[in-house]
Amino acid sequence: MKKIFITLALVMGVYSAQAWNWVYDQAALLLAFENMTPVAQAEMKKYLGEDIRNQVQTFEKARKKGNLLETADWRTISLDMNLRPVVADDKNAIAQLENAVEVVKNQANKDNDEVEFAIRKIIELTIDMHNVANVYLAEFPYSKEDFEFQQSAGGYGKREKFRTRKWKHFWTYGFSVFHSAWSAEMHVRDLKVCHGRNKEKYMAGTIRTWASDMGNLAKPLYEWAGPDCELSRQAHSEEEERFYAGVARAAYRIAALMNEATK
Amino acid sequence: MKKLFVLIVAFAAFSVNSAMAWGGFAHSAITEIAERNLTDEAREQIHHYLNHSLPFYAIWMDQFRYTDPYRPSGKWHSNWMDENGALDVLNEKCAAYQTDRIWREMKNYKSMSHEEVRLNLLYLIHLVADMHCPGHNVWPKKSHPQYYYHLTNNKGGKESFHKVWDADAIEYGRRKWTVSEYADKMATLSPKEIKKICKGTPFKWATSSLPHAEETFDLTPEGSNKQAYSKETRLRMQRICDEEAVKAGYRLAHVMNQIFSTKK
Repeated sequence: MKKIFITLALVMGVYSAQAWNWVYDQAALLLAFENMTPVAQAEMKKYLGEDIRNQVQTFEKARKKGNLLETADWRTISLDMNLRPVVADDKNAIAQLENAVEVVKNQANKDNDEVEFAIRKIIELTIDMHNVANVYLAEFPYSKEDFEFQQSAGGYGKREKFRTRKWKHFWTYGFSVFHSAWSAEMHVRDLKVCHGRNKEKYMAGTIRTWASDMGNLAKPLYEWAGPDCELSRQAHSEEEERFYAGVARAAYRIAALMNEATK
Repeated sequence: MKKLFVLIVAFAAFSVNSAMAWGGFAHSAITEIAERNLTDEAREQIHHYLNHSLPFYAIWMDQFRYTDPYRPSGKWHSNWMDENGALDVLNEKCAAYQTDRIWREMKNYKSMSHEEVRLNLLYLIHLVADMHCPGHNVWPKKSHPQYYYHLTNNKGGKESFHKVWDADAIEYGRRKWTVSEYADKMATLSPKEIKKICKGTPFKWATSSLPHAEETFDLTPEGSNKQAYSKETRLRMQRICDEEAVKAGYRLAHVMNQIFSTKK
């Protein structure tokens, strides 16, 4: 029996550590690839192979096998009271991404495995830092925790029922229920419709200004969301726009980093 | 113990996917077919008003049907028949009635506010789909008691007739299909065929779907086990759903294209 609970905990733990549902990660990468320069696209294919769409969540897969466990500490960003990034060590997405860009820039002096690893970091950690559940705000200490909250489980108005859910798991999987069986290409099209006009704005800046931008996206959320908060069905629908805004930013910024690193 | 262990692990792994709603699959598929068949001018206007593509709002009406101020629209999801078994064209609850009304009103969309246009589009996206669902035709209980019966499952429990036709039938054998794959494989009509199925009004479309709706009662009779239908029955059920879904997709595009056509 003990074995069962340990295995369940491991399985659930793996889910809660992922960036987004697989198809959203795929969509982010496909949209990113569309916005890369020909040189950046060629570098991606050189190091990752022709099958770009499936080059997501590779750290996640490795962690499931007990490898690259240190990458679990690289997924988050921390912001001070003024939404300025805090980079005290290298256990965060900002430091790791800055390092990855330098490795790709100086690839002439690096071996292939190191460059490939850096490109994978650019993909995965850019996605991770654009999940609001990975954004830690000093103003809201609970933003660092995988707290429990109450999510609508059906019914409406006074009859609406709620069930206890984990915050990070929700921001990973909680929105795919609205678009069951969508292909990554459908998400790419939709991301372009609703965020394509902001492409230049999203791609401009640095990893650190992007972190502050994510702070601005996350702050209004944490002003009402915290441990034991209630998320109604309507609020769930409305939060999808924030979720999508994170996916779009990640997509365009992966492209920006690859374009910069291969300039 | 080993079996239990495997079962629990399998359940935990599956639980993420099982949250997906297949009723949503049909709605997404219909809107995807429509999105692919929009004219450039209609697509541009729709994206302007919705800030998303059509499939994004496929189930919006379901999500907000009990939320003010959209609550009255919660009664519009089905087509209602009169005592003679014919479509009740004067019944404001009818999906066909509301589709026809909104379509006519939207011919003057330029005089409406942005929010009014957006809301009307959200309604049309869902209503054109719902009026083609074989399980969304309601007859008076007296003349058609079948509509109100229940099906069963392997455990002898009650199963909803509506859900089998709304969600289950279209997915038989297709659990791994994406909406894009569905549209690729199903929406293959020629321009001539599309023109033919788009002729007429929502009332005519709804009436022409009634034979399929009537057939549902023969295919899934009262008390039948929804998990024990023969392969032939399942294929026929799926065929009915596919035919209606494809028609709905093309017709939704037709409605949108007409509304936003600059050739008045």
